[in-house]
Amino acid sequence: MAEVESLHAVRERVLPQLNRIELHQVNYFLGVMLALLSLYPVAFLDSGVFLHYFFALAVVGAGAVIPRWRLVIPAELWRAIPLLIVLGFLVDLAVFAGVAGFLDALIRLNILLVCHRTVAFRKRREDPQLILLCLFLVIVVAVKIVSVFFVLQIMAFAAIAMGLLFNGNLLGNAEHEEGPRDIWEGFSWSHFLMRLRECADLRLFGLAGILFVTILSLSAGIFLLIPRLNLENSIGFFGLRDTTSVSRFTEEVGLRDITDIMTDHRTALRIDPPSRHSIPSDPYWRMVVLDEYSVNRFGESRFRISRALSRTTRRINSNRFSPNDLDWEANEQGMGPRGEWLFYLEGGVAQWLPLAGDFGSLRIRGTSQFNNVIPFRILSQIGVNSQLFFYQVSGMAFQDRFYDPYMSIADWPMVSPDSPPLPGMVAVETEDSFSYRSSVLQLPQQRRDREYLLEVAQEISGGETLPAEEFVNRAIRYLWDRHEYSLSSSLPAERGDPIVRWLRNEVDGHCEYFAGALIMLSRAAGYPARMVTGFQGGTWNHYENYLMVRFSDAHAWCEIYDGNGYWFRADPTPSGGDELLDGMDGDDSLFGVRIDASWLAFLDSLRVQWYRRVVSFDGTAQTSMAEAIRERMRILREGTEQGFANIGTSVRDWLRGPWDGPRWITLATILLVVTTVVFFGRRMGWRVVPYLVPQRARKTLDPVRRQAGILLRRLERGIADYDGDFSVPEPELASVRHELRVLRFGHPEDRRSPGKVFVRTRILLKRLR
Amino acid sequence: MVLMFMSDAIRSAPVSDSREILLRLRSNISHYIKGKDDVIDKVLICLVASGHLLIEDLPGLGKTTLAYCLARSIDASFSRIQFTSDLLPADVIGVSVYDESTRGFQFKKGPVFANIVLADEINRTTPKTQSSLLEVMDRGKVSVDGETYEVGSPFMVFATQNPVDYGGTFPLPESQLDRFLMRIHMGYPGEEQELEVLRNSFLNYDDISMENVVGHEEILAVQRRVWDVYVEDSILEYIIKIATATRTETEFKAGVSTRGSLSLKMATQARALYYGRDFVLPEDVEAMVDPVLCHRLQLRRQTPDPLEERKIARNILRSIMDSIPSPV
Repeated sequence: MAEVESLHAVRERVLPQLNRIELHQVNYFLGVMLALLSLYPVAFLDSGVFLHYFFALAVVGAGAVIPRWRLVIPAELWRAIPLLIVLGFLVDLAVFAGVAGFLDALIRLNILLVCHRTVAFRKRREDPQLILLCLFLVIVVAVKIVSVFFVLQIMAFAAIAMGLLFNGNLLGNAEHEEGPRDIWEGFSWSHFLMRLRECADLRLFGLAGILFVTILSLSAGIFLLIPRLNLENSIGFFGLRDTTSVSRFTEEVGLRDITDIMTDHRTALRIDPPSRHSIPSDPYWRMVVLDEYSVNRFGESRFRISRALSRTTRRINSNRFSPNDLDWEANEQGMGPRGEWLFYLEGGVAQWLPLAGDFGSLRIRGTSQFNNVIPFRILSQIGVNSQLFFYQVSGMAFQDRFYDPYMSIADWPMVSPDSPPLPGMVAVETEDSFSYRSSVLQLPQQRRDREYLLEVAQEISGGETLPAEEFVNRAIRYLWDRHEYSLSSSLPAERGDPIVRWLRNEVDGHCEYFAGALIMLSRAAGYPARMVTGFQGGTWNHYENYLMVRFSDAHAWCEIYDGNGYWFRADPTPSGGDELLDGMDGDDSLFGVRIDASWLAFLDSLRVQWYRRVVSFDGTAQTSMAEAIRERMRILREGTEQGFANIGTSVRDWLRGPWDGPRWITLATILLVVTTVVFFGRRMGWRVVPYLVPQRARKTLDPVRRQAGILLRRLERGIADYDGDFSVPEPELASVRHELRVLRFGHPEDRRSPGKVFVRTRILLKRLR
Repeated sequence: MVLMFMSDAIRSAPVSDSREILLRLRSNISHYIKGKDDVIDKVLICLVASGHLLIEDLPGLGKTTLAYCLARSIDASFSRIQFTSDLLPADVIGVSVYDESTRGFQFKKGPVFANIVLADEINRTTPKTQSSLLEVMDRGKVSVDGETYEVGSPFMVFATQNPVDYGGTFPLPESQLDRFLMRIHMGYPGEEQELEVLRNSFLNYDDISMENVVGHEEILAVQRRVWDVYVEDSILEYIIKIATATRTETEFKAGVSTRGSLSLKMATQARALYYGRDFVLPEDVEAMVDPVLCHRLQLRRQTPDPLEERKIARNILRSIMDSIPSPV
């Protein structure tokens, strides 16, 4: 036995390797590093995790510096701690956090679990638990604080986690698992560091380095390729969405359709504005404009785009266009301020592109076909996207008046309130422009209904011929006096047009009723009117700073023709902020949308992050990021240089200053500190320093020996490969070979001009070839 | 053909005094021992390294003659001990006898007090007598009755044993084997060489009339110079690697001792000097591994035939050498 041990000792001396106990220790310290790495950025969170953070930092830190204290805690207590942590989490959730603070409570739970898993004695199978807990913490915190540090952190994380798993594999499945006492009883830092230094193998580090760099460059490659190869649609996870139940805006709207859409609380559209203040207080996102009104045989009234408009609809095939390309004649308000707006429209929402008004240019990725309904200023794709579709708009204007050249082509016969409706207005499809103009004046077909509408219109206008705006104002007041807003409308079962019935019975209603009624009343009074559907408002995502427009923001409103070539917006729905009536506060108009900082908003922001940071990160964005990094580096460099210059200046100033008493005292103190450090350092033998450099790395062949070795090898190979007469004299060959051997293996004092020998060797090698 | 001519490099190197002395010695011995130049080389290297030699082979192949020739070529004393089973340690190292005239004990030196000692058929004697050689081989000194006597200087034990006829022998213990720097084999001479032996026939080495060509002072000077031969670190590491590999090799009962790796280093230095170099090359190590290490390694499994055992051990050692890259 003694002999075996001595052999082992001999082997250990020549090829030192960490034993199982030391591998366990390495495992623990890797875990500590992982935990500290994941805990570090928690400090930047602005939510209430500080207490937990400092507690965890203290415990893990103490466990790192003096690992032995953990032996004091009995095993039963170690087992009970996770239970206590979970109980604490439940109390936290119930008493302090609530549902809104769920995420913070979860982070607190995670911090404590990471702390416990790091410090408690782990079995091998529990290493992945620690890695997962740390990973969760890293990702959640990174998403919350959004920092470039995350990249470095995740890189280091991957390296340490790989090391931990690798080390765990080295430990393998032992027959006898070492207990905590075996591992930590005799632990001393100096011995541990010395062993690490002894066993450090440069080849291992080299291999690990190569592996790491390979993975890194692979990831970088993928990151650069994603926006170029349209990979996002190939990755199923990001296109994952239940499209079967998605509500859709169509070119035909019944009196319940929009309200049905509103019951869905998911996000339909995400808008990334140039800045938070670019969004007006109450934005309207126009999608579909509908002019024709009809009641089907089931008594359901519907608005739709009249077929007459198909003549004016053009198909365009491009990936970038401006209103000029679309033949949208300029509004008096013109395009909006400069700045890029990014619209992310969920798949299956609609083929219509939500827009607020005119714009400078509109850009989409790849080429796509659009239908351009010129009089309505709306654009629709051919077919609905099943995947998320995004487009970029620059110079977006928020308009409430839209120019319509088709309405001003011919003189418009303004209908006076007392004149009977023109028969041609009901019959459509005779002549394009006429039928379009007639469709926006179309009334219910039943004479009784029409007469009622004319009667009410007469009552509102009081027999005067009013400007369109004034009439609409009065009509809205009329509606508000008689109807309340409600999502459910109890319309009595009678014969006749639903909108007229709603007006007659003075029941509550939702946006389609209010809009439909205003349209009917305006038309009855002779003002052309049309319905617009889309979204109104939205909520501001606090996490990623973008506007979330949900299906519940779906809305229907009206546009009334003012007789001078413009359609103006009128929103009669009581909760809707109609600009004609709503006195919005000046300050609020800067930023009037609600802010959402809920857990759901956080989840929603993850999706936008993916699109912002990865998918829409195209070549331009990459270049700008590279430039930003370069700029940051420049600032850093200049800052450092300036810092050194400042130090130099202050030292010089200090030296030039008067040499008085306090100054001598300062100098003496500094000298004393330095002397003490040097004295104790020497007594300790500067033991720390060699730990930093692996022993084998320090012992390398000197350059002359290395070069001589290489040349010697080549010379001998050259001689071996050479067949044929030696054009090189043997004595010369032999003497060069001897010289090289002296340089390689001989005493350093015997070296005579190595450079010349090397040159001679190279010449010989050439001749041998 | 490749590196045949490269041995000229040795000759073309500046020949030191040591080299000249050894060449003189070599040519003198090879005059009588025909066709065994490589054996003579090893013997001389062993001499230069101040080591002891174990020659194994069948009787009548010139083991004794070689030892005699070496002793005669040097201005050195030679003694021969024929080991038998009844030989006692006192017969080897000497005995104190009562001297009437001085009325005290006087030490009568044994045959070990010579420069070249031929221990013939060393395995025929008992372990007790074999061990009597331990101290003298280690230190060149003999301790008897509390007195220490120095043997000749230079001192070299030339032991022979017959590996085939093992009946009634006492195989050398490992501790004893470890004291021998090298174990070599004579081998049969080639036909031509044997023909030449027959032509100049003499049967006993006493018939050989040789002149000493080298003084023993010169040999001592050469032996001292061995220590100055430079061994570069990578060569030392190479030696350590080889030693370690024998220790981890499962076929061997035990690996090479530290004395073994030290001996290997000495042998390589001696070889370098022998070939006129003042630094060691990896090829020195390669050439010396077999004679220096082979007898120190014992196989874990038993083989009935000692020759077979030596062959297997040599093959394992060779495969170990193949697996370790030489430092160039």
